[in-house]
Amino acid sequence: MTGRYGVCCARQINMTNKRSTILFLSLSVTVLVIGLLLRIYNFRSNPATLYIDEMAMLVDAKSVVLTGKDIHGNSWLQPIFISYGDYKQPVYIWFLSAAVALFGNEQWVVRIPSLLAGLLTMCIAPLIGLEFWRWRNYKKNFKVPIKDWYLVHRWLGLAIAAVVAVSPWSVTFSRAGFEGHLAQLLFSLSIYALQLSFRQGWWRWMSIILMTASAYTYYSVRFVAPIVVILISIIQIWQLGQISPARKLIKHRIIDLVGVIIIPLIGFYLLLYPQISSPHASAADKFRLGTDSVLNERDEYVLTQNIYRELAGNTFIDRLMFHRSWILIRELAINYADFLSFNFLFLNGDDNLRHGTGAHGLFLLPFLPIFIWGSYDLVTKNRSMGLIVFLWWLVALLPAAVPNTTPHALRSLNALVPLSLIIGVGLYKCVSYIVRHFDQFGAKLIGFGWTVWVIFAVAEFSYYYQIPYQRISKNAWANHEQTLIEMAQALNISHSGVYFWGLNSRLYLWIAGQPDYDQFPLINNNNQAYFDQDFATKRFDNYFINEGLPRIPEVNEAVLVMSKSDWDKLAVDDTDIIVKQEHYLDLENNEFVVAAISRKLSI
Amino acid sequence: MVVMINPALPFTIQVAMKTNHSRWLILALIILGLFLRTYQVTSSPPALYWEEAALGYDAYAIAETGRDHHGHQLPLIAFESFGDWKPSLYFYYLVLFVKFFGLNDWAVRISGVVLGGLLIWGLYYLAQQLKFPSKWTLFVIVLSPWAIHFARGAWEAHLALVLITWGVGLWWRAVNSSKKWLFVGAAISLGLASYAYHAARLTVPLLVITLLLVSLICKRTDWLQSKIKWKHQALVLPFGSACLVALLMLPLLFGLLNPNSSAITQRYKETGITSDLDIISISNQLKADADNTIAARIFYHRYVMIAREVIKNLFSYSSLSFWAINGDANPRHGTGFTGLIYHVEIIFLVWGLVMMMKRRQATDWLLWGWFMAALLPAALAKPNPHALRILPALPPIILLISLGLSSSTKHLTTFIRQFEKKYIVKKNFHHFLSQNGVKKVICLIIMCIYALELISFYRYYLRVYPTQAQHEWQYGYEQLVKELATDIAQGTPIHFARSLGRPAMYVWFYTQEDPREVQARADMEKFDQGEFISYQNISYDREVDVSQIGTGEVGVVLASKVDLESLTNFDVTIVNGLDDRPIWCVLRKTN
Repeated sequence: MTGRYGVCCARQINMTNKRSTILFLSLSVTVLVIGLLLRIYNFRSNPATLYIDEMAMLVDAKSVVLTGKDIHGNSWLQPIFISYGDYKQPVYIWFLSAAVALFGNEQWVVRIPSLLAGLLTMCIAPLIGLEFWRWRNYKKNFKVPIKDWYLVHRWLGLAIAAVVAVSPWSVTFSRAGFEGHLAQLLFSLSIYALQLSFRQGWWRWMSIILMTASAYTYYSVRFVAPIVVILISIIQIWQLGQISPARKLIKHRIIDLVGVIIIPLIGFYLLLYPQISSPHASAADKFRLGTDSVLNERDEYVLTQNIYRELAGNTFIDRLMFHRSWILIRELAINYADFLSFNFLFLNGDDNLRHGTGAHGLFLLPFLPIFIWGSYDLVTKNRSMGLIVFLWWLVALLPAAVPNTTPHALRSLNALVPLSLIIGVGLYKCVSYIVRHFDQFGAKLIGFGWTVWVIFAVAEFSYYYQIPYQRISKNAWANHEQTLIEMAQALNISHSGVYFWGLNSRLYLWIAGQPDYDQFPLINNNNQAYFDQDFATKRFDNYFINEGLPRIPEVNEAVLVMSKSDWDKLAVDDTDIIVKQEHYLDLENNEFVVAAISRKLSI
Repeated sequence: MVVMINPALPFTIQVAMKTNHSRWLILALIILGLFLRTYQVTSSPPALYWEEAALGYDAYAIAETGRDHHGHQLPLIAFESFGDWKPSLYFYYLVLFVKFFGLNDWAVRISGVVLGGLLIWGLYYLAQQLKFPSKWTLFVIVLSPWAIHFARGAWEAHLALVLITWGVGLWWRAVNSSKKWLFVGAAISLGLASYAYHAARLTVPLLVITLLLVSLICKRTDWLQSKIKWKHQALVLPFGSACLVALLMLPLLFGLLNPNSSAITQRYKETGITSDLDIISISNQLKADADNTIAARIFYHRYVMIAREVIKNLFSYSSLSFWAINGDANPRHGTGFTGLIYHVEIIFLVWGLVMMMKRRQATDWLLWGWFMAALLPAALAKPNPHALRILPALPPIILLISLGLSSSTKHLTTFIRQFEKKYIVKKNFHHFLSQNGVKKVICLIIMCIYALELISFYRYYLRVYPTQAQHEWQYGYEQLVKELATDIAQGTPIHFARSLGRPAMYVWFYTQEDPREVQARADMEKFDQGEFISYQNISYDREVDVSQIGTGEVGVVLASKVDLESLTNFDVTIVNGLDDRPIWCVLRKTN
């Protein structure tokens, strides 16, 4: 049985079937609600505190909202934000500024752009998947209007949305303010626009704009995006030739090549030019390339090369076989391989507790057999889609594989959508198979068993995330700084000096990030920036950070924050100091003291 | 399809020539395989590992006295050895070599080479039985770095692998032919495998169950349609074979049930994950963090955590690094320079996997079951991934790679011919090569790539690896014992540091100490678990205090633990490593 436009729906649920529509809508709402709940439940308090990068972005956003300038006094419209010396990309800060203007400057607002990115990814990934699904038989399928195509294949879209909705990878990054998460959404939107451009050319320019926005959001996109765009464009040119044989002529191929690939990419790099030519660009590159990576261990490769060659006899073959380039490629391959491990993808994820729970993979374990099924289907039956999706995944890993900290869930976020597509296709095919064989006991058993397993896994993940993870991950989320500052401010009733020792030298970020702080940009009374060349500071308003050794300052009143061992050494009882209040805090086995002191008045 | 070698020749001669070509190719590959495993076998790996020394010496003891060095007569299940209760079969196998070649490195190592040759033959035979491309299988196993490395040492797992491979091959031959007596051979081979290696005690039963199920599925029409029940050969014989395996494994079961015996359980206690208390404490911690709610007690129950640990161990074998880049982290289990398979073989492995999933043959379930049966014991132990423990999984991997090679050459040949037809022949050009010619060119390219991989691996293996891994292979003991030979013979008191492990075994091995003497002193000497820490004039101390060495006594210490310049009243002899750096110091006090 075939429907309109020759689309085969013999094995699919009939689009005119009312029960099917109700079922689809119910499941869609369920998936959306689950995705929403996982992302917004306890949003304000889990993760409990802001990490330094989030705090830095909040501070810059507050400054932009209040003054139109960043914390250094530079205009908000700049291609690179200096921040605390890590040279941030601007787009997330712009989005955050809008959020701060709308919702106020509470700390949880930092995560709103990421939350929206997560929710929108749930919507855009299915659309991308449905467009790629046309490639199964492009000659026939490209004529089908979008609305009809999406209606017929809505179950595939739902499957992909479900995968993203319950993915721990997507959920944890939706609840944290990371630029990479917003960047992957913008890049996904650009890919979708690129797919739409096949029928309406102007979408290609929208794709370039979105791609540029993505590159202005996260640094690594500028390497990933062009390669993926070129690959998709090449396939589109080939498909044009299939649909219209006249386009196979060399003349038309060249025109397509220039118009579809070269000019848009030139446009992309032209739009990126302000950032490339920014006065901070070289400092930003130096900061990023200074990360421990396979590219800056050249001395070690030379040493290893020489040892191998010497031991082997230093013949021509040895000089070829043990060349340092092979050693570098090998190290890169080892890093790459870390991202492809099932442990990383489906069981433990990233060890870094800011990037995941450490107890769940990027996707839940029940999706492993579905992933295998989807991979098999894409490799054998839908090769065009399989080619681009697998290449997208592998290309997305390349900038993440260069640094030595692997596997890394944040740096590889550009792979979220392609992996979701693979698993989504697998889920769709698996469910279709079970529906077709539903009269068989085995199919019912497998379907029921797998569903129970998924429910168990989702429940366990959400339980772990809300309860044990919240306690275990406090240290990772800079809980010390926030807690101590709050305590110090609570004791600082008389607005005397507050003295900190043993904490982050960029503590001013947490101070400026408090809701009631509004002195922006961060310059002192002499109109100078507080920061030294390392973007740290020892004095910030009436706060003193790591200035000298822990001591009782020569003032009448102060609030002191230091480790308990330092406090005990001060032997305050033997001095003329009155301790008005003293609080001990055990923050994950680090003991601190926050004390409000004053001097005894001499007679 | 018969390929015309020379159309001028009669057909029968052409077939004979083709068969001869194949035979020469097979012979050449076998010779190459034996050469790769034999050449400089005692130099790389650079020395005998202590397990090899223990295998050799106890085999010698059995050959001379019928008892191991502890005095146990012909142990059936396991040899006490260092208290680790090694499975017994390899000792008896090694007796043949020790009897023939004497007690030396060569005898121990050549036993592994012979197993390597049997494995090559066994896999070729297996590929023929399971209808996999047998010549490609031969090609891959001959050049396999995983197989080459373990054929150059005395490894119990290797013996188990060979027995399992032959067992499965014979079983499948028996299923598909009239030679039903081969079931007996298969059962004996599989039963013996469980006496060769700890993990095989779990792998073999699982594999037998898999074999049983797959052979029943393949032959279901036979046993369903047969009208005379006692003639259900397709049903009775496989079951009978499985029962024979179970019978052969009965002593192991009795050993397991004996609470006083550590022969079966000791190894699992040392390495098993259920012995790991960390899992229990993590479970308790998580439950406490969640205030011990019902949900927490379900989600973080210790059995759930143990299952999770098993899955994590299984998933460690999905690492591309482990398979194709740097292999096992333990330098004794691989070079660290290459993985278990060559880099290019990853492509063929994946291709073979896809082809196998596409063709959906019942026999393919055998490979899946075999692979899981080999992985499961490794997943229940630590550490992971472990190239030695999953050695029984080598045949499925090799078969998949060979399937990938065969399929990819066919696909590539077809693709090139279609490309030629579309873009070259269409324009009135002729095909450059015949179909067979294209296939030969592709095979040649593949072989060139393999040659580069082999040269790189083998060069590193012979020249670099011995120096890099000398400490893991306890290099230096042989030279050290030779240096101490006179002192030992004269009964000079010797204080020997146990810093590199098990020195007593090396001393007996390289002095060819009479096992009767060792057995006689088994009740008199001091032990650390099953290891002698004193013997006659030698005391094997954890550390040797140089100041405690008396005049006329000898101290043997690691060079890194002493300051040579301060040893003025000692006559110092240094044993250097392959990199000319000192390993051992022999200190003879002069006054």
